[in-house]
Amino acid sequence: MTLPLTGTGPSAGGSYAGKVLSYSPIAYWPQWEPSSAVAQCLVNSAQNGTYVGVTLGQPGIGDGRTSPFYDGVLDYADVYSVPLRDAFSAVLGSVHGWFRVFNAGVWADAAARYVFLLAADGNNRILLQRTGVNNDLGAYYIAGGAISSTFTVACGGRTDWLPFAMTWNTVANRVRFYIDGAQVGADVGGLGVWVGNLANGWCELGSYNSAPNQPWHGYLAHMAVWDRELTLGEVEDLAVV
Amino acid sequence: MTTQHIYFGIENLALNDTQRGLLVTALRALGPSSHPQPACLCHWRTRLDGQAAIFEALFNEDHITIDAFKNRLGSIFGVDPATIGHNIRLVTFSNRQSAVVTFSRGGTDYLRVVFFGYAGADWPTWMESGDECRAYLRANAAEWESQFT
Repeated sequence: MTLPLTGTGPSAGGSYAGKVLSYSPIAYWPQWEPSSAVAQCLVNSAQNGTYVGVTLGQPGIGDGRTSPFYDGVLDYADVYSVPLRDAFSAVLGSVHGWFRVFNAGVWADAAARYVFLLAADGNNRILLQRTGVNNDLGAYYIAGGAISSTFTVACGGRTDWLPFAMTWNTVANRVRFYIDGAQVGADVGGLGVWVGNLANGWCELGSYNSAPNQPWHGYLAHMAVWDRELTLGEVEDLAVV
Repeated sequence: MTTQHIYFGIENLALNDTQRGLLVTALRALGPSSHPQPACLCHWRTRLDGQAAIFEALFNEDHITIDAFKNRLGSIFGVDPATIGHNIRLVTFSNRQSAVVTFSRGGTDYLRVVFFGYAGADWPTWMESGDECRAYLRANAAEWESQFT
């Protein structure tokens, strides 16, 4: 018997991390370490990331775990690895995670701030950012230099944890974006042609790069990547702790 | 040893590339060599033009004094640190005053250092120092950030 909405995820019990893993991501950084510069990947330790500057052990999403605080100045996590590069698909994939701004002022500070970036270069990028427009969150699938898909969501004032998901399917020519377990707008098509593989210095949590430019100011948790489209049911399930 | 977890910034005014490199290398070595909390290890970012940087770490207080910077500059220049002068300007980026210290020698300003949230009396908390630094970055976004959408 298949449980509706939950896939194989243990929504009725077990840990939130167990739920994420049950959907078979290709990479998963829960970011719950109490200390250490290593952002552990629960799928493959060869995909462990490296924290720079974050403050670990801060309140988490409510799963009994902690999260890192990114200071909006100097902090990020570099998650590039060769195994991630090889497992990643720009043709078909998803990212799911949770973010929380430090305070309401972050939505009004006119500063663009990245939640995540997975990219081959400046012309081939998948990203989520608090845009430079106050109160706006923007998700982008950029391939071949063209901004193929943009979603903008007004999130001003939201200081709670927000689960998000972004899925892409270039065969079906669609990108979808979800907040709080619900799809934002309609599918967007017109996708460009992705060129290249994920590259060192272009796979970051909490910033655009290792400079770091456009650093996140707040908390991030449970970032995971798939090589398939998550379904609405799966996204709904992952939006529940 | 008294430590302070703060942010400070430097701006090159007249150091040549070699001198600037020596200074940056010395500053990146500040802070603990290991620490369970990444925020306490020295980390930094550089302004887009490469002529300024911001550092954060759990610093030994003795390593971030005006005299400590004069000693570094004296070593870099190969001169007596006592020949290096300074002046202080107080600036408020958000809520607390920050000391902006300009180091000079022979009538030339070589280096500017800003201690975010510290004006020479009470040290700021880490969050207070960060608040001043974030406010500084907001006020100078064009010099520190490109728009990467």
